[in-house]
Amino acid sequence: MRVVLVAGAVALGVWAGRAMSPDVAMPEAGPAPAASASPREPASAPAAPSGVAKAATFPALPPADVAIAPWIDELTARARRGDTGAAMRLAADLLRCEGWRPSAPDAAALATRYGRLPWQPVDYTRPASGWTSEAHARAWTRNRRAVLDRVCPGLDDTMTAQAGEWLLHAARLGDTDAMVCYAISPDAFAKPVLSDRWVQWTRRWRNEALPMMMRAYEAGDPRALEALGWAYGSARAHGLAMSPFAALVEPDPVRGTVYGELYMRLFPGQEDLPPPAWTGLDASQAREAAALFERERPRFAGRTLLPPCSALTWFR
Amino acid sequence: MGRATLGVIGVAFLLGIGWSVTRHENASPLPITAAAPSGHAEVAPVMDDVRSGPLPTKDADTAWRRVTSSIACLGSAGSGTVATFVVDRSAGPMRRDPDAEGSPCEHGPLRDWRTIQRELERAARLGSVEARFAYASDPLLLEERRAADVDAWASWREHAPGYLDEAIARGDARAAVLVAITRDPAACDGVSGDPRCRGRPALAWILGPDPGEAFVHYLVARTLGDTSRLVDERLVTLGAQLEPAEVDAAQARAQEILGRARP
Repeated sequence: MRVVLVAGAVALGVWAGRAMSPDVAMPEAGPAPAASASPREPASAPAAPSGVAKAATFPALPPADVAIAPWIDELTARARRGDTGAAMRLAADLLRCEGWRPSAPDAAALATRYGRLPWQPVDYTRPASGWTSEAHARAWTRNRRAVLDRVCPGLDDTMTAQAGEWLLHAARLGDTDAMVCYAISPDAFAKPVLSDRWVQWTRRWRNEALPMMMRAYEAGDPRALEALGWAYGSARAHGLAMSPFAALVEPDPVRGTVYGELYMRLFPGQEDLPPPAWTGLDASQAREAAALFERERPRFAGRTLLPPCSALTWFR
Repeated sequence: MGRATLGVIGVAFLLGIGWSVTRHENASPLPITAAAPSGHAEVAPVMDDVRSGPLPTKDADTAWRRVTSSIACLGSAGSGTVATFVVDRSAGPMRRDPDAEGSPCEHGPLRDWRTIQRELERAARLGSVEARFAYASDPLLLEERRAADVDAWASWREHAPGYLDEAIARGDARAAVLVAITRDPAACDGVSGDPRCRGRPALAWILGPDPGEAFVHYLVARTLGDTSRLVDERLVTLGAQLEPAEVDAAQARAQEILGRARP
């Protein structure tokens, strides 16, 4: 009798434990809600990060670079209803606001007065050809600071610390941009490196990154193809430093070469290149590569190149 | 039903909850439909090897000797990653200079850097004084594998500061200088030729910049016998930058540390 009672208690405990687990109770719950005001501005212009699996049934996102705090509740609700664009917007804006403090009380006014670069659209990326002058560099920096002074007020550190969770939420909803972003950027969403937070995040990343990347690959996302090509072969072949993601896989010259060849055919005008000769591989590897190439080629037919990780655009 | 029975049932209930929650937390919350297909071999994390692999020796000093002799041999035996480390006797294992001379022997007892890393960590855990300093100053973990080897890095983060404190308490000036350089963002500006200025110590990730603490540890290092130009110059520079009250506080703290030291 006692044994039966104990077994029953264990079973009841297991049931209760499952009921207490947040993801079981709310499978699409997303990160914890953050307190904020309600939206003050109407949605007018879409500013969604690109994502292959983004749902098309949600209204436009708030314009880029507006204060995000007043939108938090709406974006949170939308993300929880499956809007990957809203989840990615939260990830991107919360991430760039992490650690932000007002530059100065009149930062925005100063930026308007002295910043010679246009306010919108803001080019977040550094000029590829370098700065045209020191004044150019200063104005660019000032402009970025002014954007943060506009986007970030009203957010606290607890809210910005959720950026990575929103990225993961978008990935779990099927956004392949988020999947690739998560897999290639373990350090970006849990700073500082080697902190408790980083260790916890990275332990989860180590188990999830490769399967996540493979989901994006199998969905035909060219960003996953590029990342896998670099991980399996190209980075090592070119003597480049291994990316964090590449450290999760063993070098594989066949996969590395095939993914590289498939990726090359995504560039405009390169779509109809003939199959490669597989030089650099031995006969057995070449046969394997040719078969893999033919098998995988249809997956990426008609796909176009996409910039990696829209949530990190601000930091490029 | 007796009170004891109720107690047992209560404990069983709590154990059931604990098992279920733990199991849930450990499980991947993502319903991953596409697991890595066959052929996508994942690299085993370093710490997994540490936990599962057999322990080759039981003696800390023997383990440390195996590490040093293996590293010394890498120049002639190794290629690729394994050849990137070398022991600098004054500062412990350091990144190998690509142009450095080859080592005198053909093969070391441990040829693979992962094995050497595991042995270094093990020697440190077993209590080898030299291994502890060496491991704290350079865990022989690859920066580009930081995320993939998160457990090994986390273990180093946990143990390195304590090992250095122990070394300073033993009167080891090298440990004091290492902490000072790590805490001093401008430590190696304008100082050339000091091997301790080869790159930023990995410790900088866990010990943030703090000129006051740097000054304290330079003071400790000098008192423990380090008369290098690096230490002298930084004492002068930092001493001029700090407020007089900060200098007084630093000297008091240095005395406190030295009071615990057993040179």
